[in-house]
Amino acid sequence: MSAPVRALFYKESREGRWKYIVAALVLIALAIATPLLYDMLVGLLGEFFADESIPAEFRRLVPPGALELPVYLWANWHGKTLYQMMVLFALIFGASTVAGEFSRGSAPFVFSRAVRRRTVVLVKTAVDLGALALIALASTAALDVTARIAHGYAAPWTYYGALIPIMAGTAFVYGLSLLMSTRFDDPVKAGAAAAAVAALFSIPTLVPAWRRWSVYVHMTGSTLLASGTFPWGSELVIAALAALLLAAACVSLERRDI
Amino acid sequence: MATDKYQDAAIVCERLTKRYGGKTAVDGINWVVPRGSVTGLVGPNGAGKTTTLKMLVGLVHPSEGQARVLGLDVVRDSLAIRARTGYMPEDDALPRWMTPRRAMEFSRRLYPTWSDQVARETLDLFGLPLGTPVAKMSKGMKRQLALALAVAQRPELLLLDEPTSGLDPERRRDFLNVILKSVAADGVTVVMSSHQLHEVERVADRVAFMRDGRIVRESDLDSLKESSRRIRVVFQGEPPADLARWEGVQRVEVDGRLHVLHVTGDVHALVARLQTFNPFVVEVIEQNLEDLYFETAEREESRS
Repeated sequence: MSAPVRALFYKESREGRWKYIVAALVLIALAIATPLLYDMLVGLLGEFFADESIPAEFRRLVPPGALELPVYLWANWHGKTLYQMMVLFALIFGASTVAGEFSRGSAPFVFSRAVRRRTVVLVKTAVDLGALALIALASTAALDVTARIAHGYAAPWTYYGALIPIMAGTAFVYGLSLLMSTRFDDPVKAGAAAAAVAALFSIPTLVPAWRRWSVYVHMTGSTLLASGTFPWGSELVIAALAALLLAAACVSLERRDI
Repeated sequence: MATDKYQDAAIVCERLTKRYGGKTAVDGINWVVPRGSVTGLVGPNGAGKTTTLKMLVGLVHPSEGQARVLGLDVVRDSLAIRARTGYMPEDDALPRWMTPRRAMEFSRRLYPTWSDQVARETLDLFGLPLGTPVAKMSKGMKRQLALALAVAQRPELLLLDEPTSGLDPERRRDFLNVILKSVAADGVTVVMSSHQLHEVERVADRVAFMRDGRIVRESDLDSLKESSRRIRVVFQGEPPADLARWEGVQRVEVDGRLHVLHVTGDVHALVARLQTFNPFVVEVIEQNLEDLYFETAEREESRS
């Protein structure tokens, strides 16, 4: 690692440390809560669906085995909380990447240093995505440890393997937000624009025949849960799209005036 | 490229232009800054000074024309230019969490020519504590830190945009001394935009007047002053009828018996000739930069 890149790594880690700490604390708290709430939620749902006054159509909505601990944990962690929070963090972190330098007034300082603009963007991306990967890993580990203590359940390798689809999707959403961040001077506007575009990508999720084209469906790691095989093909495509967005952000920043 | 004859120049601009939509911020400037010179870039707000400096350091892309800084193209070789140029932006742009110590660590890794000694000497001169974050600094302290970082890079070119704004007179003096020391020690070329004309006059040996995106007057300061001298004369009787046509007299302003002659060339010869008419008063008025500034502004306004 060259000296300028080390200098930028230090700057970005120092500037982002509080947002990383807050994000980690929020996600770890949610991870710990997920196994701890299992008995209560399953008890409530069990009673609800055992009640014969409730029409059978409603009771059939819950697939068999849905209230078993492994399915509950996966559905509530990988299938919901983790990917949703990672999408949210990616939007927030990506939006402040370049636009944050403008809103804080530090852009003329940063971009007049003896370092390429694309190097600044690449280092910011590496630090943010590295931090997000650590946050996802630490919170999943917190879920695993809590499940062991509370229920004697050891999470299988797929819990950790599914972090790869989560990170590929996170990188994609981060790329969208980063691209917007190079076009707006205000992180809120950049985040709102990125969220609007990210929402468009959720449309395939709503149509059963198109679900395989949804980044968010792939982020839940459903293929890994169902078949135990790792979905390399789709993850490589998503990672390639994320790389394209990153390249587009670099070009966009190179072209703009500071 | 036609700039080959300016190989020794620090900056060469040819028809350099910047447009923002329909507005032209910099309008085809042709400008040469010799190496080792200290040039004051003066002009009213919105004249295009900041945009010009930003184009030279690669922050803003020219719409037309070209510029070479230290022999390098501002578009193609922007990184190499920034490695050899110390730039101090108009606004406080240092990250708020940075302390002078952290800023030095950051800059040391970016510039192979960085000098801790120069940085510490400059910070000591300003009395800046190493551990105070930028967020807790006054505007003047931020400007001092920015200058200390710029000179400690030991650059070949210093581009300073309104460097002394927000400084008290004492700190301004120290500030200008740091700039002059860099010039004396390392032969740095300095371009300094400022509204503080007396400061520009103190440190600059060249001056460029900018107005409406154009450089309307540019020269070394001594020649400029010499070419803009005036003679004030009060005649006892009638003035010579052909006074306005005398050699060296460019223009005559008349107010009763008071005549103000705008002159060039041998002023002493003109004074001697005037004294043959036994005037009550005859004196040479040396113009300062402020006079020249307003004279240029008036001239440009009357032209437009």
